[in-house]
Formats: sequence, structure tokens, C-alpha cells
Amino acid sequence: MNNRLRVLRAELGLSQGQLADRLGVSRQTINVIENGKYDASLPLALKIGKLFGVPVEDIFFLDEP
Amino acid sequence: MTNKRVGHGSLVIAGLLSIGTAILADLAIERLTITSGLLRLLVAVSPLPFFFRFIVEEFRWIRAQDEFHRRVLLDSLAIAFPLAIAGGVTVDALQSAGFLTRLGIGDVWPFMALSWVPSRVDRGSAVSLTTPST
Repeated sequence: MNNRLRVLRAELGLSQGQLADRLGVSRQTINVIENGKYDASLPLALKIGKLFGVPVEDIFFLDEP
Repeated sequence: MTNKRVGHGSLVIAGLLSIGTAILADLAIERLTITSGLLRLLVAVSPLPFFFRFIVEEFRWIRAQDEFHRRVLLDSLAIAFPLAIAGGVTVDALQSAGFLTRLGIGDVWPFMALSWVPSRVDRGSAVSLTTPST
């Protein structure tokens, strides 16, 4: 699974730490999600979508086959 | 999904107390002449409250981690637990085969906690826990 989290975060001018604080997770968690090494849980993905004001499917999407 | 920080301090202390009391109880049973069966039983099980305390502290610590770190811990446990069992079984088998005449499972169990180390190293490198903030 891939995501646009890094782009959205940059648009808001947030650091990984600041985004982590807003979401209630660690900075490492944001880092591994952005790098595609960990897929966020559904609650976390929904929370991310709500924070950025965009649907979850606009942030997270499956890799092209 | 929480980021509440709980330090390792109480977990480490509880772990050290568990191992320490278990070693002391073992030494007491082996080296002291305790004739009372009840007293020997009490000494033998005396480390249990410390181990229960350790489990409680461990739960507190794990529950304070966020979802990603819980996943890392779970993956680590999947490696550490069978590794510890394999170590114990191997020592027991070697002892039965006559290769370890002076060592038994009682001598090596304190080192089984080390089975956590390779799993943490493996998971640590796999998930890049130390990658810098961008």
C-alpha cells in the first residue's frame, strides 16, 4: 500500500513530530507509514483523513499491479 | 492509538527483581539447610510475586505504546519466545546426552531473556526505528 502522507504533511508545514503529536502516535510511526514500511490501522487512517480534511482513499491507495 | 510515554525504569527494576529473587531462592534452597518442607516451598515460590509484578509492568508499558510499536513488540515476541524454548530444549537435550554435565535448565534460564536481543535487532533494522525526522 502506498500513501500521500508526506505530501499532505508538507502542505500543512508540519514536521513528523508535530503530526505525530496531533495524531497521538510516535514520530517513528509517522516515519514508517510515510516510507511504506507500515500500514496504518483503520482508526489511525481515518484520524489522518479527518486531520487533513480528505477522504482516506485520497491518502492511502493500493500499489498498481 | 496512544502516544503516552511510560518509561522503562519500573519495567527494568521489576525484571531485575524477578531474576534476582529467583536466583536467591535457588541459592537458598541449594546451600541453606532448610528442613521444613513448608519453608522450602515458600522459598521456592517466593519469586512468583515479583514475576507477576513484572508482567503487570510489562502490560502497562506495552499498552502505552502506539499501534506500530505494539506490532514491533509482537513480531519480536514471535521470534524471542520460540528462540527461548529452543534454547531450553537444546540445553536439556545436551544434558541428557551427557554433553552438559554441570549445566542444566536452571543454570541457563536467566539468560533466556537474551533471546529478545536478536529479535529486537532484526525488527529494529527492518522498520528503521532510528530514521531521522524530515
